[in-house]
Amino acid sequence: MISNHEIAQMVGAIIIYGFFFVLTAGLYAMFYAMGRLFERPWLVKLSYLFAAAEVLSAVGMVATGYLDRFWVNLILFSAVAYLFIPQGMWWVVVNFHAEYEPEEHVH
Amino acid sequence: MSTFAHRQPGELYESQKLAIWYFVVAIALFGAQIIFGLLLAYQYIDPNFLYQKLSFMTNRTVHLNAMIVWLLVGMMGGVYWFLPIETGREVVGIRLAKFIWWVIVAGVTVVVLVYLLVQIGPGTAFTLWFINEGREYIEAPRWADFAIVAWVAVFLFNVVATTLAARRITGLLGVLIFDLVALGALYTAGMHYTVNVTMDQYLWWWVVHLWVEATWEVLVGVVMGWSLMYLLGTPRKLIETWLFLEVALVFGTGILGLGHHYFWIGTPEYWIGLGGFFSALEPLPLVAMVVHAVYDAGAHRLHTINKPAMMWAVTQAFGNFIGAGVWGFMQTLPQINMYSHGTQLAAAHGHFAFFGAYVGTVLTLVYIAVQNIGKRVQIPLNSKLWPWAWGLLVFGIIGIVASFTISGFAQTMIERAELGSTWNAFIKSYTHPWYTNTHWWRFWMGMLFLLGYVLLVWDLLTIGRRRTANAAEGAHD
Repeated sequence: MISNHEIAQMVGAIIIYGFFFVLTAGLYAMFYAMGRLFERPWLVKLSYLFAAAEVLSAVGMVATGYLDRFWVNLILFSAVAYLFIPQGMWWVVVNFHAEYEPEEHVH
Repeated sequence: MSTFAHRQPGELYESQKLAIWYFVVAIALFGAQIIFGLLLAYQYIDPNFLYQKLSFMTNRTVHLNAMIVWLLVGMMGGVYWFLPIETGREVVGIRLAKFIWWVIVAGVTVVVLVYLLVQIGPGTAFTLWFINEGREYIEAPRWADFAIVAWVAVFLFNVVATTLAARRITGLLGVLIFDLVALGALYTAGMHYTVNVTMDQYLWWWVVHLWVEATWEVLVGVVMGWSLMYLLGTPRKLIETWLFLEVALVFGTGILGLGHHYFWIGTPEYWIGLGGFFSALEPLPLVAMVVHAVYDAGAHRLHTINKPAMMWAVTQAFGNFIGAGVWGFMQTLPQINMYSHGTQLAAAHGHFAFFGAYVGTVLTLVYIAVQNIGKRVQIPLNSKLWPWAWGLLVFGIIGIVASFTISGFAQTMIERAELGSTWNAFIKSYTHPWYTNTHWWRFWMGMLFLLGYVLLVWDLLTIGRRRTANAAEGAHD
């Protein structure tokens, strides 16, 4: 039987890990895009630190043992998806711009 | 040759003149929202403040309703601003639009006065129709509901009739028309009367969630699309392709993300899995948009014809991700939400998400309009004051959100999870330093936010004027 105190500890941990999970995913995306845009490889490398932090946050949420299998799988799926979003979106954005940017500027 | 050009300086369509009124009222209501928010913040510190003069709940109602109305008015003003530029003609039915606008302004004034003058009383059919409908966020009495639906219907008519008259439908206009139909229709879901609280809440969320996390997001996509075409010269095809993608992503995750409001209101248990699943996916498109925002801002090195509008557009992109994505996700899993819902963690998320997603949007639109009013066409539009206003508003909201987050965390942990929502738990969490100390913090951060608002208003009234006046004097010399 889990005590209220233990539940509170797990809930608190998931809130904090969840906060850093999405925040670091966003920072990863931001620094990755900046590194590619300004051709600064060190920014891209820095972004991978945030990617690692994102994965660790997901592991932290899962490791509390409070979430059942469905939610564990969902969190792990999201963690993997966040790893590929920056590269995927970068490809989409660059290709969109390459295709449409030659059009006349409009103001 | 420009395909998205404003008229000559100071030469405005009637629709744009109406848009200016929309923006004026929006900014005034923004001020009202802040004032009532500060009164609320002080009532947390001293619950006797304005005792029997202004109840906390009435205060809260006005604070929330002012926010919803000013943001909606601001975005609708943006449509009235850009619609004639998009279609190349005056808006059809502009006299009707002006008429309904002043009816709505008068109606909102009456509704707020009634809120303030009749704060306590019985709940009857009469009060539902004429005083307060009693539904959080959409407390407007039933007669005002019909006025709001009529207002959105006229707005929709303006957009559709103008598009038809121009014989030109763009991707942006198509998405806008589709979105406005949903916007108007969903509002009526909040007007059904039922004595069953679960059913009432079930439909009420169609307005509150599906407006804010679906139709409003798409409306923002449309007006920000026009804004980026104006500010950065972004090609239309790029904007429209991106908008279609955004609509798919936002609707794909946002519509069934509605389920995170259905966890604990008496709906079937499958909503826990369904709502939790889509809610957990909701930050994914927001993270994707961060990449696009970085590209758009960086590729142009922020070279724009309107610096404050550009900064608010960038703020919108990142604020939406942080406020809606980060603060939303950390409390959206049902296992967490069971303890956190209704605490000040929810208020933290609400404050940050609305500021990020919508305040940034409306202020972008307002600065674009300001650049084209009268003879104030300054390129690039810039001043020394706007960065201070921007900084104080952003710093202020971060401080307010931080205080809500800490107090909400204390409530979640102590009152709910640790002590199990007993009366003793309530007392312990509400007297905990993490809860009580943050009241002062929130109040002073609110004061900074107010200062930012004052500077914003001053800047809107003066930006571009001095340089234009100097240029005029130079011309006379």
